[in-house]
Amino acid sequence: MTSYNESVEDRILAPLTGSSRPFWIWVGALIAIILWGVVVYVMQAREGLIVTGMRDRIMWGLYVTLFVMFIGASMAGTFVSAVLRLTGVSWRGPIVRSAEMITVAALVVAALFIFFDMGRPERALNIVIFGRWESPLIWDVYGLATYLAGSLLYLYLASIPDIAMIRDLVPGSQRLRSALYRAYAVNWTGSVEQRRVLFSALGLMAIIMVPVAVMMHTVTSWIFGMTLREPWNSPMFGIFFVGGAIYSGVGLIVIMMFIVKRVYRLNDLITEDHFLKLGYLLATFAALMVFFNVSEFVTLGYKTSTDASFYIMQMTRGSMAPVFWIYIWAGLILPIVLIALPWTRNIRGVVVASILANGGMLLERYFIVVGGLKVPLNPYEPASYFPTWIEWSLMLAGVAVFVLIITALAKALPIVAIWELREEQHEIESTARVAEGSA
Amino acid sequence: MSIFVIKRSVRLVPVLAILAWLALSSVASAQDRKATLTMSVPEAVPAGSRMELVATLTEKDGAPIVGEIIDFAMSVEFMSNSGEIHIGSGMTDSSGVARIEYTPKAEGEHYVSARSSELSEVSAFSEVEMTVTAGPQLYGELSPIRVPGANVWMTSAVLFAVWSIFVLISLRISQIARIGERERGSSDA
Repeated sequence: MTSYNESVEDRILAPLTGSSRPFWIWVGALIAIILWGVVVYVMQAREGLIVTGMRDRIMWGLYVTLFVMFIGASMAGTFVSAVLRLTGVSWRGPIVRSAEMITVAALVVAALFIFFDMGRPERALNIVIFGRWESPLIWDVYGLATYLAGSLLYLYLASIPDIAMIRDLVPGSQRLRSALYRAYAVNWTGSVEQRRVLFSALGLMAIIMVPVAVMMHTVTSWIFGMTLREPWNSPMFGIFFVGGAIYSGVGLIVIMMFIVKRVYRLNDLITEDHFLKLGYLLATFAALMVFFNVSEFVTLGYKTSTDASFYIMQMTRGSMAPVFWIYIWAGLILPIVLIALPWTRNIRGVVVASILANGGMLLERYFIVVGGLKVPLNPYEPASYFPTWIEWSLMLAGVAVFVLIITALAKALPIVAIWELREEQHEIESTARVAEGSA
Repeated sequence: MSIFVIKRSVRLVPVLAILAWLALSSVASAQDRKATLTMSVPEAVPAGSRMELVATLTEKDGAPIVGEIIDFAMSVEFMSNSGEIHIGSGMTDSSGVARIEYTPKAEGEHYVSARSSELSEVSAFSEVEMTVTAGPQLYGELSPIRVPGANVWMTSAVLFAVWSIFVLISLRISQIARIGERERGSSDA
């Protein structure tokens, strides 16, 4: 399935042993964007949320949209990785590590956007001290903490053999680095007994992380779904959010895989086959999302309560219509077409479909949050919202933090799980030997 | 013709005045018929729970008064205003008892009153103090499906179970470290 050899291993390990000039320029640019974000955030903290486009009626905007977006992105990693591991998929090797990194980075940034959305961030601890267990907001806080802890543990657990390999490569002169890798390698020798314990722990983690990931996204949907407000007041929200999270998450893995393939020159390891398999998964979830949307709009539209009518009109012909129709056509239908047509069913086609999927899902989360709040609860004119430059700046800074975390993780750990590739290679060779013997 | 009509009307004025006085005095005498009204309400009741307000109307000699309408009210305060809010009416039965069901929503000390209807022959009033308590949760228990144990404790238990597995995995990591140390020790030896 994968063409693995020592040359590939060298290319994967190269960024861990040295840093090129473009790397530092890249990191410098990301830090500059983050510093700009810090300046803007200080301005927002000093002036209050009045500097944003949010007001009393539309009190959630771009920050909450991005929170939901990054929670969705986090679904990619641990969930996809756990499912691939549990089902014993042989082509998972080049995918799982970067997917797990996406989860950790996305969860940290998701939490960051909640802080951006707080008018009084110094009172954040009150959520833990005075938070009521009956509130879905509190479920989300504990859900996020649990998912982040589990994802970190899962990433670390699956990295132990690779950390041990780097431990043996790092020269003793680099004392701090050497000491850190030695500590995190937990005396890994790769013996049969250690492998047995590691595989059992990995299996258990993979089993527990699937329901934890589903729980995380369902609970996030309940922040909206348990509010008595059209269109949030829907039992479908949990399924909608989980489906959407897998859809955008798979798209993000494809984008990440494409970047890794290009940057690390892993053309022989990450093949078109990997992209197509993830592409089929992407198209399946795009079709499911189309079904969910049709189901929701037909059900709401048939009954036509006052609020639902307003919402549907707003989405299809009103102020949110451009966002809605771009989401439907470019975010859902076009990715399916790109993967379905033989002449676009290739790496480029799948990558474009993934970019469209993520763009579409960002729009979807925007109209869920803002479009939902635009529906008036009393007979008054609907409120309006548009993000200010402060919100756009913090969005940019949040994305920069996300990319910087992945860059840092890729600098500390191999972006592709080398030990899993070796396992795959070993299995392929064993199978070939058995086949030769029987012949 | 018109002078004759005016004179006859003037003569009617004292007659009408006497009739009006008689009518008013009869009403006054009906309201003056004093009766005894006693109320029974629980001393403390949790907010959101349904309760029964009971008032018993009797003559001075203790005989029950049947078929009288009793109006129930509660003292309320809103900003700097205070007054009474009508919360229901009931008719006295053969025992002189009128009752209504009521669900208090506001926490605190409240005065609940009962009085005979303004159109009634009897005049009676009673007022009692009632404490409405708010427990740890203020939401109404209106769920149509009751799943035993599906509450905050179950949520906490699920969370605890997940974190316990994380701790178990962490112990596995330390087990890996111990195995490695042992193997290194034996290879050194």
